[in-house]
Amino acid sequence: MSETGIVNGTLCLLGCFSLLTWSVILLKAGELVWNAFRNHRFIKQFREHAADGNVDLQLNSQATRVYQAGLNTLNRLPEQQILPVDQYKAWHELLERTMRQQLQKEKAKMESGLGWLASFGSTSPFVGLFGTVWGIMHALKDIGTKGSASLDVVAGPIGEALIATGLGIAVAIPAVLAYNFFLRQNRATLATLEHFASDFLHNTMQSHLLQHTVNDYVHERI
Amino acid sequence: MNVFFVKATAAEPLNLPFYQMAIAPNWQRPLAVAFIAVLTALLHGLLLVWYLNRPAPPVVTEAMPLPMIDIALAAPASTPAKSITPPEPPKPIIKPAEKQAKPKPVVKPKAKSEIKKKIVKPETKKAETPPPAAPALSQSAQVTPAPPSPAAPTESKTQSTPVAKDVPAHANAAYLNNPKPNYPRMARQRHWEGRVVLRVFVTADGHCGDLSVQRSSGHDALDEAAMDAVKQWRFVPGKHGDSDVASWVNVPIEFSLE
Repeated sequence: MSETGIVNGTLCLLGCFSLLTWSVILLKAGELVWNAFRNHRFIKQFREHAADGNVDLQLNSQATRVYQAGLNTLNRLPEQQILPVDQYKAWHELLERTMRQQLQKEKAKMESGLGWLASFGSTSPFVGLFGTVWGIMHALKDIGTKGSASLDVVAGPIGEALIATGLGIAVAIPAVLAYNFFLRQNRATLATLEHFASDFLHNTMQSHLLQHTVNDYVHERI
Repeated sequence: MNVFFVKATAAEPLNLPFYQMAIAPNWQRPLAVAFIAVLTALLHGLLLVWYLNRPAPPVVTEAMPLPMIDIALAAPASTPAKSITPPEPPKPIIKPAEKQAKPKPVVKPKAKSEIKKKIVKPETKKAETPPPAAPALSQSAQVTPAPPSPAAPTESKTQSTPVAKDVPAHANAAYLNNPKPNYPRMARQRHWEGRVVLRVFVTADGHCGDLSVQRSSGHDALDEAAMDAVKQWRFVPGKHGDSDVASWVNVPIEFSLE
């Protein structure tokens, strides 16, 4: 009674693991596709319209959020025309940190849920093994009390107990595969975003430097 | 100018407990989560239903002994007397001593030598007679000096009783020169043994008209060897009264390695 309860409980637990695993997999896959699509669109649009400043900020993407964070800092720049050069340097550092912070946030978002996959992938074989060991243990006990070790007495309960191991492995394999896949994809996405952020920073610094030299030139002329 | 510690961004958006997804509090994300959860549950349910309802593998059952139907006359008797008083033929499990006392057919001694290792014992019983002796016992029974010889007692009976009676066909008369079944080499190497019961339709002239395996020995090779041999056999046709009739007879053939 209790032994079948424990084996059944193990099977139910593995079923829940499987449900959660596949939910996370589908959600993350959807997010991945969504983010990749939106980022691609925003970055393309940014490259085209960066010169005239006509960038659509309504597009909800990770790249937009990074850009928005940088832009917020940039907009807080005093309206004065001329700042000392060391202050520009400080502003650029602030801009870079702000964008890096946003990148970290995006990274955290992308990696959320992967911990579940890792946990399920590593523990569910053991959970299944536990169910199997428990089932076999009690099957053997039953055989001992019955006193006969014929094939039909031995094979049935042990075969039933082995289902738990099979289910555990069946849950673990997609979880581990998906975990590795998503880690790799996240790294690729993050690299894209970092590239975009450094592009943004680069453009800003360049324009400020150019402005500075122009101002210096103006000062010299005056 | 203390611009370095300006708060960089606006207030933090809402954090969900599981995914820490910083999302705007709109309905898209919860809806997506709910949809995905329902979809996954549905897929799992489908898988479970399929697993529970999958076609069961064909169950391998042990070969069961079929009920023995010994004799069925192909040509039913025209006289009604047969069904009223079915005569009792001698039972094959009669003690050998009794049998020896009965008149033997002239070919008896040769019949004894003919049946040596392969035991070929026709079952000459009516439906109401008890089932034959176990095949394991039949070997020792065969070695006894008197092989079952139903022809002899029926001869005397037909003389004594005018009622037309049915005598089944049989194949153990020595003059028939029936060859022993060939023991297949493969079966011999693998130590296959067994008892085949063949159902043979014996025509009125004593030939094998049709035959099928009534009960297999468990090995196709043995069954086929037995059928090949029995196909060539000649039989003493069954008799209805004095006339030969076609009939069905069960021929058990035992393959045993000494």
